[in-house]
Order: sequence, then C-alpha cells, then structure tokens
Amino acid sequence: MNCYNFELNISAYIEGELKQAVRSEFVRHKEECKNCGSKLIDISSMIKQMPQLSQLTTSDNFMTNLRDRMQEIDNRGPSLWERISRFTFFGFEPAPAMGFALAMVMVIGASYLLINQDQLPQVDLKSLSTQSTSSPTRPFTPSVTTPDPALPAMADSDSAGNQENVNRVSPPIKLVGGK
Amino acid sequence: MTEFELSDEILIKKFQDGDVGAYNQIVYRYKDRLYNFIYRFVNDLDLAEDLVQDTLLKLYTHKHSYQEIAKFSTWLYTIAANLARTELRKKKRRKTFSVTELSYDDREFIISTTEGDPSQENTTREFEKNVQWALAELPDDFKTIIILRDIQELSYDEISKIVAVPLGTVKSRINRGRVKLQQLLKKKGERPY
Repeated sequence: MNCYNFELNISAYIEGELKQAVRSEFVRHKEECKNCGSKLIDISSMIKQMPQLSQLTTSDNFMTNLRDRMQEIDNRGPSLWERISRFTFFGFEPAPAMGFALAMVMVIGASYLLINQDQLPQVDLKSLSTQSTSSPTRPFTPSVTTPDPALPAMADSDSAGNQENVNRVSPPIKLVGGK
Repeated sequence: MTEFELSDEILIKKFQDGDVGAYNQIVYRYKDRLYNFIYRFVNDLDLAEDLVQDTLLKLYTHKHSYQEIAKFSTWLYTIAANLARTELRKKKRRKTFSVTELSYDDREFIISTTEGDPSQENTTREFEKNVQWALAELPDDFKTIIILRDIQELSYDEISKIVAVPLGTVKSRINRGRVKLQQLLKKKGERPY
C-alpha cells in the first residue's frame, strides 16, 4: 500500500470498516511510514475531540422572538398559494379539479382549431377572374413575329463565315512535357 | 407516557393534527442541536440563531410537507442545511465584514469536558477556535458532512439523506474532509491531543 491509498482508507480503518486483507496492508504501511502513522494519530484524536466541542445554547429571548414571529405569521393569514390550494372546485379536491379544468380547456381549444380547419377557405372569386368588365373583349391573337427581310442576308453571311472556319485547318497540337 | 418520551414522528403527527404543544416540544428538543449545527456552518452566532428560527418557522408553516417516509430529524436537518447553505452563499456574495464574527469570546459557552482545570480549559478553547477556523476554510460539501458526522454524530445513512448524495460519496467526502481538516489544523500549529 502506498501513501495515497493509505490516506483514502484512514476513516474506514478508524471506523473498523476495512476488510482483513486491506487492513493488514494498512497496518504494515502505518508501521513503515512515519508520516502516515502520525497523520492517522492526528485524525483519530481530532475525531475523538470533535463531539466534545462546546455545546452552544440559544439566547434567552429565543423563544420569545420565535413566538412573536409565529404570531406575525398567524395574523398574516394564509398566503395566496395556500388559498388557491385550499379552494374546492364544486366539492372536488384542488389538484384534480385544476387538472380537470385544464383538460377541459385543452379539449375545447383543440375542438375549436379542428372545426375551423374543416371550413372551406374564403376565396374572392372576383379578384381571381381573368375577364375584365371595364374594357371590351379582345380576341386572342398569338404573338407571332413576321420575319424581317434583312435577316436572311445576315444569316447567310454568318453561315458563310462558319464555313470559312470549318475549311481552315488547325495546326497539330504539340504535347510539351512528359518523357 | 409523557410528551418528552414521545418520538419525533409522533410529535409531528400530533402537531399536524393541530396540537401546538407538540410543536413546542419539538422546538425545545431541536433548537440547541440546530443552533450548534448551523453555527459551525455559518460561523456567526446571531445569524445562526436567526436561521434556527427560520428553520423552526418553516416547520410551523409547512408542517404538512413532512410525510413519514423519512426520519423527522433528517427532514429538519435538511431544511436547516439548505437554509444555512443559501445564507452562506448570500454572505459570500455580499462579502461584507460582520462584527458578529468577532463575538465568539463574548458569548457564554458550556464547556462540557474541562471542569475545574484552567489550563485544560484554555487548550480546549484554543482547539475549538482552531477547529472553527479550519471548518470555515473547508469547502461547503465537506464542511456539512464533517459537522453532521463528527460534531452532531449522525449516522452515514441520515447524512446521505440530508445532503442527498449516495452513501459511498458521503464516506469518501468524510475521509477527504477529515484529511483536509487535519492539514488545516496542522498548518495552524494545532495537534489535537
């Protein structure tokens, strides 16, 4: 046993709670280590002396002061919480009555929400209408743009340019680097 | 059977049924024990007395909160420990210097072990002062357990319920607390024998 383990077991040793095997190791260490032996003696003596410390007594006017404070409490009457907890709801005990009331509130609240959810949504049909009442009806005409006579020429020139690009031969790509 | 012989649990039952005399019996039974416990904790005599009153008033106003699933003393000590811990936290936050901390020598103590021997009385008084100083230096978790076990002599099981930590943790804290306390006393030059 080392000093650390010895220290951990001091109270158990003093109170006779150590098992035989640990106890014999403890005793051996106590005899070998002067510091630990002295620590054990100090702690044992301290424990013996502690209950013999002076017994204090309350002052002479302790009871008078206590009675005054009790009187003050009695005159004050029950607190708000005490009044609530004493309140009987149609002859029920307060806790079940409050639980019942809370459950009722929750049921009514849930029912209200469910009933509102089942109703059809209010839709303003007039605002959704595509027909306007103020202007006369105009026939539907698909927006098709007529080709510009100038465009074919532009297209031809473009395609001619492309043809020129195709005919141009690109030089072979030379690979640089590697082996 | 007189009321002094009645168990705490019977007395509190009687008080719950409206017998104020039973409450008075409980007060007489516990006021000094609680005072010693709280004083060792907060290190202030006047504050300790106020806290004992607060504890007993809590008992007066919340008598129906006690149910006979725990020992009455455990329940009462739990209230006292919680109040003391809260007050100590407030006190540390305020960090104001209290004159009452100096009043240790001004109050009358009942020295139970050193009748007639002045030198022994002085030694005990010195030891007491040093222990009180060392306890104030200990972290709250260790302090509570050390006071309950080594000064109030409660069982590990009761302490475990009061501080709401497992039994194993209580035992390990007791051991570490005692070692720390011994180191502090040694630092102060105190050899407790």
